[in-house]
Amino acid sequence: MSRLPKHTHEAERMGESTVIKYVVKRIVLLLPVLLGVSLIIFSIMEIAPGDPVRNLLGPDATEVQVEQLRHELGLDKGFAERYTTYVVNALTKGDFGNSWRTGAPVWDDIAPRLPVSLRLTTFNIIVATLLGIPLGVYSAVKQNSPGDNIMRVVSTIFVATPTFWFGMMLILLFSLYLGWLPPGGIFVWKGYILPVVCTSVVAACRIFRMTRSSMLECIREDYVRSARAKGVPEKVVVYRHALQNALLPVITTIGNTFGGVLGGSTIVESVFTLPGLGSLLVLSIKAKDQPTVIASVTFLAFFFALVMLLVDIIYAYVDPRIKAKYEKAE
Amino acid sequence: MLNAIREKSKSKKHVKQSPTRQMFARLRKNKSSMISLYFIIFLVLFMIIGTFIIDESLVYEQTMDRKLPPSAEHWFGTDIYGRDIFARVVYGARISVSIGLITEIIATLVGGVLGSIGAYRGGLVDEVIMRLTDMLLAIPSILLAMVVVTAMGANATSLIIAISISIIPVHVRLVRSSVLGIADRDFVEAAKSVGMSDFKIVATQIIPNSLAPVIVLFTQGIATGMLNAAGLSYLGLGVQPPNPEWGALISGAREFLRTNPYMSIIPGIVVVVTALSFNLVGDGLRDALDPRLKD
Repeated sequence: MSRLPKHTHEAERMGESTVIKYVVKRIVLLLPVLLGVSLIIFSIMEIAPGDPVRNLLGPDATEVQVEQLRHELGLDKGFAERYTTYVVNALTKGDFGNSWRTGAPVWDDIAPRLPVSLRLTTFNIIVATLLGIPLGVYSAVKQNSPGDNIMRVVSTIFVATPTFWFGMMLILLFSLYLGWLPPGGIFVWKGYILPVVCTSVVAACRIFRMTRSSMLECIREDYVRSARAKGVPEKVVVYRHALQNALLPVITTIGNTFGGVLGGSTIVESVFTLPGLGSLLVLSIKAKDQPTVIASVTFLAFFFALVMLLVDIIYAYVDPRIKAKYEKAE
Repeated sequence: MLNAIREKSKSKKHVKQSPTRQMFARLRKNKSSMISLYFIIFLVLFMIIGTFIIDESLVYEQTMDRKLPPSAEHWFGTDIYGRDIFARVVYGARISVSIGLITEIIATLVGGVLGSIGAYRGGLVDEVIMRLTDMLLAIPSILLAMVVVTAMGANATSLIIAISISIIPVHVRLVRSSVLGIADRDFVEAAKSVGMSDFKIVATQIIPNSLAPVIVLFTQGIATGMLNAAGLSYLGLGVQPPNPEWGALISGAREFLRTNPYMSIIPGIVVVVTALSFNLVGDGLRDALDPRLKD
């Protein structure tokens, strides 16, 4: 794939207002994504065999009890009616229904857990990016050096390591043997260290691999050779000519990795017993608490969508072609 | 001299080889991939033969030999119920690797059909398939799997369905873009112009030519499927104990991390090595199928 040099005349003519319009358009597009996500979750619950109310009450419940609870939970209404009511309530009142487990509004369970999840994921993505990109650049520039080889082996191994097991090994080493860090909970700030390491190392390895291969591709491009030939200092060649162009696929990888991080938060929060959205999700799946499951997954998907939005904005900022395309479309 | 001539004739032969043979020749040069491939073959053989040698009673029956560290008698030690961990890992391989394989076969077939229909037909069909794929991709895959598990209950069958559904969108995307790249090529147009039916064009022209990235994704997807299944089982949302699925097995050892760490360390290493092997074979296949991508 050939890449255009960064500064084109078209891009320079672009005003701030076009970028803002682009951002606004993308934010508006978040809503259909969320509607789609909740519709998919609703549909899966609807299509799946088995009766959720019967599951909830167990095999010993009488038909009358089942029907009564079904009515109480509003499950005797049609699919379309239930879904529209849910969406309208969620959007207008922030009401995600009541938990089948506690009977209290789902929001009461989610609200205190949001900051924990947000903090964890933000730390994760910062650490993973700050580790992954520089190491990837180093590895590509010093291809086949001992450092490159070691990092390639290490990253390949980590990508194949199950998160839960890596977390257990971290607890074993740093909490049980060395006693440096708590094995779980967030009563002290140190509690965040192991979970963040557990998730971000694997994420960093994915970013590292992408940065490395993308950089290697760019380093071989003609414009890099031309820059070197006309005597541009090596540092400028690497960071300005090669890295800026190599970053595009890396940004996409960071976005996707973030999806993995959000999904993996269910496992990490369970391993380290953290009170976040992920552990709430696991808890409510076990309790067959559908409203909480729907809301937690929607919230996690919302975070994911926000990050992908951010990725797109950064993309538009880094890649003048996107801005140019948008300007043409107008 | 003679050797030099032989070498020459060999290299000439090499040129005439079919693309498949060339691919295998390239793959054979990749050491880490070949070692991994041998390991996978060994593992699969062991899964089949091992279950004949090792009595199934060792996997489930409780004995008095509780919490014994690894020894000549119990290679991986024994667990809290006195069950031999080595036997459990061998039987667990059957479950874990099969789940990875089955989910990946389902996802490849469904994703392949949907992706190629979308790419080849275009228009409304393509639009519907792609919008649905986009929506599914908006949910991180393991969460999507969890939603399915919530709806269907935590057991092996729903785990397989859940993981397949969660990875289908990735396959749809890949196959679609791969087919799109091929559908415009001259030989497809030639096939159309001689009056070949759509089905025949897809089956004989497009599929064989767009297989390379699918094969790579398939190989590495087995590892992903296996790891995701292990993750869900670890959380208690997949295969249930006492079945020795790897995630469930390590989950059971969690309580004894402090007192008997070998119970979780050794099975974990087996999981890592297995997943690593599938990934490395996938890497090797990618390099072998598309030499341009090789560094």
